[in-house]
Amino acid sequence: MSAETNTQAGSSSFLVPHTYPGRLIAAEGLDGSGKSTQLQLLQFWLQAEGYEVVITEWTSSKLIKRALKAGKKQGSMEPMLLSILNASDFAEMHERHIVPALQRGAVVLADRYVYTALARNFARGVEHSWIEAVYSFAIRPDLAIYFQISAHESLERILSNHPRLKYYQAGLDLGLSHDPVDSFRTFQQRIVNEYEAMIDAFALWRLDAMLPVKQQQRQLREVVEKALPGE
Amino acid sequence: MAEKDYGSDNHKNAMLRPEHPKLIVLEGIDLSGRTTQVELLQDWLVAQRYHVTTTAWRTSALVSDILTRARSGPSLQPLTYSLLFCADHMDRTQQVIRPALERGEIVLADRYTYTAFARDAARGLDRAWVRNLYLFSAQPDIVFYLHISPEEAVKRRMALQQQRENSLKAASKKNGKDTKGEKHDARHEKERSKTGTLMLSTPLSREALESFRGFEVKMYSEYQQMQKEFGFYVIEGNQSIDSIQTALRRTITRLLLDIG
Repeated sequence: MSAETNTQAGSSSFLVPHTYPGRLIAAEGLDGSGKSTQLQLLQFWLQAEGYEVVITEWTSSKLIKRALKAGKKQGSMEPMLLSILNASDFAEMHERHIVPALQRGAVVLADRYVYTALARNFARGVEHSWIEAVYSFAIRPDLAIYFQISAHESLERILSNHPRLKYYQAGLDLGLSHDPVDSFRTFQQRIVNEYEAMIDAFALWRLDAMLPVKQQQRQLREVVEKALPGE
Repeated sequence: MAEKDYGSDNHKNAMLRPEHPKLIVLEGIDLSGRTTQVELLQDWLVAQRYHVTTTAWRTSALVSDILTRARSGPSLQPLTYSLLFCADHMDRTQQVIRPALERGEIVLADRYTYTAFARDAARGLDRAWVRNLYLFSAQPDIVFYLHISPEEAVKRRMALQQQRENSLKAASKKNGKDTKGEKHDARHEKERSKTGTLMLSTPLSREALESFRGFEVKMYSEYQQMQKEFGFYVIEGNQSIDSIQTALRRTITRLLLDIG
């Protein structure tokens, strides 16, 4: 698939295209798929080319962490409630960082974007039309890249570091398994399935994240260049 | 539903439930008297031995705390507030409103989704988007709209402020020290903010009053537009507390007896 077809309207019609001078490039994919490494390399390159670059990350604010903690007291949080709390975090970042940066003409590299929320919410069984409508305030990226690796590969990369899996990260709220690692495996597989279904539906540009780092970067620069202003 | 067997429970508590569960909502701009009326309705219904659950805006166990915190920190974006208020309503829907309705109770809601519709629209958010957020909500059986004009709200706001200043003066005279009066005041403020009603912590400057008025005018216009869309039962809020309560009781009685 070429970048041209990707950057056109596609069918990700629930998102609003923008007319700002800047460009929004989103990186999606499983944990351990190498998004952050590649975005950093893109940042160095773009800055050398004279662009202002802003990298945004998908993290929970202190406010939301408090709510999640409070939520533990009443048992697992309902997926819809979890999703609306995450959406409020995203909204704050979107309004405070992404939109102003695009207005300034910066290139915004989003390390995870709305597709992360969609994949996780779909994997939790939240109604598609509702969650898409919730996130419909978000600006449509000029380019959305899907870092493709298998759930198996993602698990290898993440679990080899022996991380402490977080409750919702491991999907423990879904009662798939009492064992965090087992639960995480099942949940990750569901997320992969949701991502794969979104590639065509939302015109994600697929990158083979199993390739060597340099080769990935070469392909990325090629496709990002076409999305830059003045091209 | 596993809640069919009211009989034994009825006997135990000697309490009544209406034929069907009822969700009764009171809406209106700030200082329209909703909270007072909800309290009176609750007393009246309980005296008639109905099972009653009340719920108020911004009181969910999960979110009220972060909403309060957000007020003291750097201000959040309108979109963020909108989603947090939705989370508050969703949490109360799951934890309070739906369980009470499933038990066959009467639920009295001090503000409901219409507050969000008015508030978010007044803050410039897209009306259709906001309505979609709240699709999960339980459908009210009746929505009372306590109608007062924005000018009346401003009048009440000024009167409240006057009252507060007078009681402060009286308190500091009594104690002979200003510090004690302030301490008492701080506690008072906290209580008020917990109920989700107006916080009076800021002195009422000209600008503050003007911004209050401006916001109430916008809220009012949204409520007026929603009146027909959602079929609000309008009650004039600019009459005595008793008259309003009487009007509410008359209509609720008919609703509970299912005689429309």
